Amino acid sequence: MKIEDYTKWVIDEIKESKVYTILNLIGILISVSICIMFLSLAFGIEETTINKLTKDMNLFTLKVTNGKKQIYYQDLNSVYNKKIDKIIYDIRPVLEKYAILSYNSIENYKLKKNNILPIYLESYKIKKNNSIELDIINGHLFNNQNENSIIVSDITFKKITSIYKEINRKNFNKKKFKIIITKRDIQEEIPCNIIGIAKTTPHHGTTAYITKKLSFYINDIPRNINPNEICYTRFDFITENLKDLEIVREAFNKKGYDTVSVLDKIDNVRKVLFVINVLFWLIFSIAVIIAIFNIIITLTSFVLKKRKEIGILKSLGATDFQIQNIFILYSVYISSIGSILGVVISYIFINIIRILLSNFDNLSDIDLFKFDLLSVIFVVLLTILVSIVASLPTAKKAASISPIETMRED
Amino acid sequence: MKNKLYILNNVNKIIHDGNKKKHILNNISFDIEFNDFFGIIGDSGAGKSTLLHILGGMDTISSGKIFCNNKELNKTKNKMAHFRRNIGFIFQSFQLINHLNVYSNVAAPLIISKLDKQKIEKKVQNALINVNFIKDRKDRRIYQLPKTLSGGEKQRVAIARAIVNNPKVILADEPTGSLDSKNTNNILELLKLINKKMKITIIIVTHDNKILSQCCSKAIYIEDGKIIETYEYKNGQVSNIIQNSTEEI
Repeated sequence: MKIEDYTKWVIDEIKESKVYTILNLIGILISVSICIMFLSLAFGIEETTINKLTKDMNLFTLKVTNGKKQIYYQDLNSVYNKKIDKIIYDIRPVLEKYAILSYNSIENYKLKKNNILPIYLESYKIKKNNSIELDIINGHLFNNQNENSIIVSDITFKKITSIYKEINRKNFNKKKFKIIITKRDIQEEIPCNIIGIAKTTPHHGTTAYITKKLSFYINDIPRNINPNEICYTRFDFITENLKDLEIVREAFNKKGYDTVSVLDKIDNVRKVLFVINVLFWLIFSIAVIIAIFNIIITLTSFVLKKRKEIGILKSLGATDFQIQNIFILYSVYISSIGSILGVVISYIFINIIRILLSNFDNLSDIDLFKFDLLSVIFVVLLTILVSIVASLPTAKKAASISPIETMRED
Repeated sequence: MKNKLYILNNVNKIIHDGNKKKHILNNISFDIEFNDFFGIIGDSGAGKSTLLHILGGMDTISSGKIFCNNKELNKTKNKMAHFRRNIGFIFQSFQLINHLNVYSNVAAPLIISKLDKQKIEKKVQNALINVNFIKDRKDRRIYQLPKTLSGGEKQRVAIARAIVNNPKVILADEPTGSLDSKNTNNILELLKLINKKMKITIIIVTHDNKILSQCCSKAIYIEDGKIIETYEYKNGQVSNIIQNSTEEI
């Protein structure tokens, strides 16, 4: 028998037993629509809660740290290689101990908007001990608590070191010179201490600051500093998309790093929602069990009704497999149609509830339902699978019917 | 062996009714030749229908051997099902599927055998013409449901279904039991015609002696699962009666 023959047979059977079929369809339809509505509610609550938590956040920051080891530049690269460079808005290696080094136009804009301006583009004078002005360089104030601690770019740093070397090489009359870097404020000049060097590096379309932790006076500058060997205490990953943040977090967690972000709060909420989800899945399971019983009862009565016809088919040479297939196909068709109708009805119900909720002022901005396509497909496929499994014992029973028995029943 | 369609050697069928054993068939041995019109007669409960079911691969034996077309009947379910595809069955109560029309009923054995749609259509129409149910291929009666047919018509459809697969043998279990005398004669004539023209062996179970003399070339009389007598017919008359013991025909 071909699939079209089975189908024709099943359609004839459906026509023959309309009441059984309709009852079965209604059973599956109710089960599926309940499942989808509850699942949508579970997803909706989760999404609404997350939206509420991240309501005022335009950018999400993932702080990547590790207490035991420091974060190396190659780790940053390996995460990039996971094809996530497009989702990263900005990456900032950070000397967390001192300050967040920010040099980004968007960040500036954001901070300016909030009337906070931690970045100062200021001039510093390098003076010899006889107070002759040599040069003017730019640096950034990075520590609000200690205003005389500054971090400079590597270019600036090179300038300073070359001046320092130049002064010492010339060794004016064997006198000792001291370079004092001062911050020129509005009123006075404050001597500064360089405690960091930042190297600006273009990286996958973003700007990364490689920062070397330093803490010394200009006279104590070490001779050989290689910024590529520098390691950091923290990286800040900044993205516009929360899902991207989750991907980056997973990548770093797999590498053994600790992370801090808004996702931690969301995780706590998800723990609570998990309990609710378990409850929903319990209801879903009960609905599925009801659907299984529905299918078994319907098919059993169907087999009892069709005993004679099964006997005839077997006398004509139908194998047990062919007989089983008729009943399995019947349950596949019924469960497919029932679950698709269930999806449609649940969708309609969800939208009706949405419209009703929108009439309440305090609930108008909350969408309690999320119609998740993947979960809908999952429910439909699960229903069909469960129907097949539920129909197997009955189909086997039907196939075991002896043609002689059915003929003697006449 | 050459012309033998069926050979039965000491066939026994025992059923267990609680703790009691019941011999339905007791040391049955006989053979049926190709193109025979073979009769099995006996009272109710004698075991004639069981014997027919065994010959048709619908029932199994407890001991003994059965050969069909020089091959021993296999007891596995699947092989029995495939064996039944080469046999035509006709029953007293027609055994048509009520919700299928005439065409679909006759086509059922071919669909089960996975034949092409075009071949099925041709074979079904030929079978229905051969049993005089339709006159030509355009006849719309093939779309009628069985409930709209008379008893005689239903049996013609059942016979069409039995011959549609070109079987070597047709097993008929009291095929005229539900028919009036006119239809009985018509059906018997049709079976004789099928036997002669299509060279199909027919094994008929009946409790009516007249049917045997009208159609059969050979028959056995069964009582309590044993063959009591074997009859040979010539020109509608019994030409020879052999008294049988349980051990031999």
